[in-house]
Amino acid sequence: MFNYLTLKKIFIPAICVMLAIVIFCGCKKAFNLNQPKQDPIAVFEELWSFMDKHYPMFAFKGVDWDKIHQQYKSRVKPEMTEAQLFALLNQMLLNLKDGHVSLMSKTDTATYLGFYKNYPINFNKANITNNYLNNDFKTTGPIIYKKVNNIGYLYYSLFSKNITESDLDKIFAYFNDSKGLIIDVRSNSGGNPQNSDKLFSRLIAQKTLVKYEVIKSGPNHNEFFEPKPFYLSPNGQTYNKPIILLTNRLCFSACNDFALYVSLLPNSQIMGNQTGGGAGLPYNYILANGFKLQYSGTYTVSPKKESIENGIQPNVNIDFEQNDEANGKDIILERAFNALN
Amino acid sequence: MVNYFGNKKVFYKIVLCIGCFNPFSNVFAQTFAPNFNKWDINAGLTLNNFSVVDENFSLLPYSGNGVGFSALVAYQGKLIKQELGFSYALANLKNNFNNSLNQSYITGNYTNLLLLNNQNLFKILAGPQIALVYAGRNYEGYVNNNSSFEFATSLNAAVEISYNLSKIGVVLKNKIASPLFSYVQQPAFGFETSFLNANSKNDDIVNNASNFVGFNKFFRISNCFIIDKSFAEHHKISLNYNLDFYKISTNRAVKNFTNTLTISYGFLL
Repeated sequence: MFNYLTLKKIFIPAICVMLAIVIFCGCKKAFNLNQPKQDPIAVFEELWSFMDKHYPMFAFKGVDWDKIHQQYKSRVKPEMTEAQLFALLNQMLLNLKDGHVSLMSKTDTATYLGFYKNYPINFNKANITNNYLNNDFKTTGPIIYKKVNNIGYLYYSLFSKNITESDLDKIFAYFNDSKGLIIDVRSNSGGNPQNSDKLFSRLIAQKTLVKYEVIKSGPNHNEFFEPKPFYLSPNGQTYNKPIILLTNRLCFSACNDFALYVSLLPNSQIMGNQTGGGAGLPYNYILANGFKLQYSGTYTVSPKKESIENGIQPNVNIDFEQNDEANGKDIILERAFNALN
Repeated sequence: MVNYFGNKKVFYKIVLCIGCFNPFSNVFAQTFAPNFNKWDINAGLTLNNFSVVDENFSLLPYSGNGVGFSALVAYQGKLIKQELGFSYALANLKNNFNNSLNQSYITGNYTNLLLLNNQNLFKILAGPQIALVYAGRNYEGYVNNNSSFEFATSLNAAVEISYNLSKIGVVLKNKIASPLFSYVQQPAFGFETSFLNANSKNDDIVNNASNFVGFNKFFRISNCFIIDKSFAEHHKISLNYNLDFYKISTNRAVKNFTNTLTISYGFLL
């Protein structure tokens, strides 16, 4: 049976003590919601540990993250300035060679740029608009387009610029009677994959498996869910004539995915250069000292379950020749027009 | 051998405890005390102060104030008291670097309390409670992983003590509840993006991670201090201070701390 006396003697004072603690001594402290440590060593450990649990591509990239910890831990000093810590953390992250990994402070942003920095860009927009489109072209939403000798040319500069279905209706109605289509995504460094998905949905006749998304299922390096299939379906007026996609090293992230999708089409070929890669969706995390981390939270593989992190190979690899750009020439575009003629 | 069932009072209490989630439990109560039934229909506005740490997004606490509303229907017999409560609040929270998130916070509970002690003006009630809590958050400035949530349904143990200051028509109550075991639902470890949801319908496996857990994985304590002041035969006004803290210790660790001040009007039948 209940001992009422004990309840009165113990329970009521216990409630009072608890209330006193939470109200008068600081509720957040009582439940450990105070600020985390912000000294350089704590921030370094936080970053390393977070990436250790959440970054999905250590195995693919052959990075020994424990070894990286050993290498960099000794270089972190309590007296480091914010700028020094930022530089060191950025150096550590550069080992991942991932253009989706970046670190931002109030004043600086540091990102791996090696996916395009040491390669020719092979693209000059002004040369195209001046010399191939004769400064006479249509613009709908973020896309500029024109028919030249009944061959369609479509340029999408950045997938972060949103396109609507009605924009695409208008554009593909215009291309309806063309004999082929050149889609130029050179120097398109990605953005919102919903835009690239919308565009690709105009190029297929049936529901298509375009990729698998690989998602971490736990904090260990090898913990993943089964690759998740990702399908796209045709939408509105679709285009089924020959397609040539123009790419370069700055075609990254959502653009890299788009190049993968186009490579799956039987009526397509890719010309230009290998894309820059960036397979996977960038996620964010804010460190205890306010630095903002961006990292690849997932990674993408092709329908054959091959990684596209290092980019998509073109069917025809073409580089500008010396002076081409200065002379206003775009030999990649010329090769594409010739192929469709 | 002690014959517990020989003691009618104990026997009835055991039956009530077992039947407290039984739809016929009202029948028991009414059978015992047909003249003591009382309904309390209560609705109020809340001022909330939140503090949240979701370790998948940051170790930094996000804090801020919000507003909401609450509703409660209580039925009181001579020996049992049943309550059905609900609250909803919205808030914009910031960390100390001015990054912000929007949180919606919903709680609900069904409580069935048995009167254990009724000594003059002082009462102790205890019993089981089914409680749910949902917190959904949208982080501003995050690219793909900009949202998260947790939803927990728990079987709680709840205790209420009350003291009636009859001279001034005020009743002081304190109710505390904590889970025995819970069913917790969160997004899966690495899954946060809405982009995948928009284009694919087969993400049940990766969208949610759901588990039955003990208090080592889901700890929650909810304490509510209530001042009821009757101002007419069927009317009362209440001031509640509720402290609600939960901590999820899965691989998507979350701590959520809420202080809520509620002012409400109650209609008594």
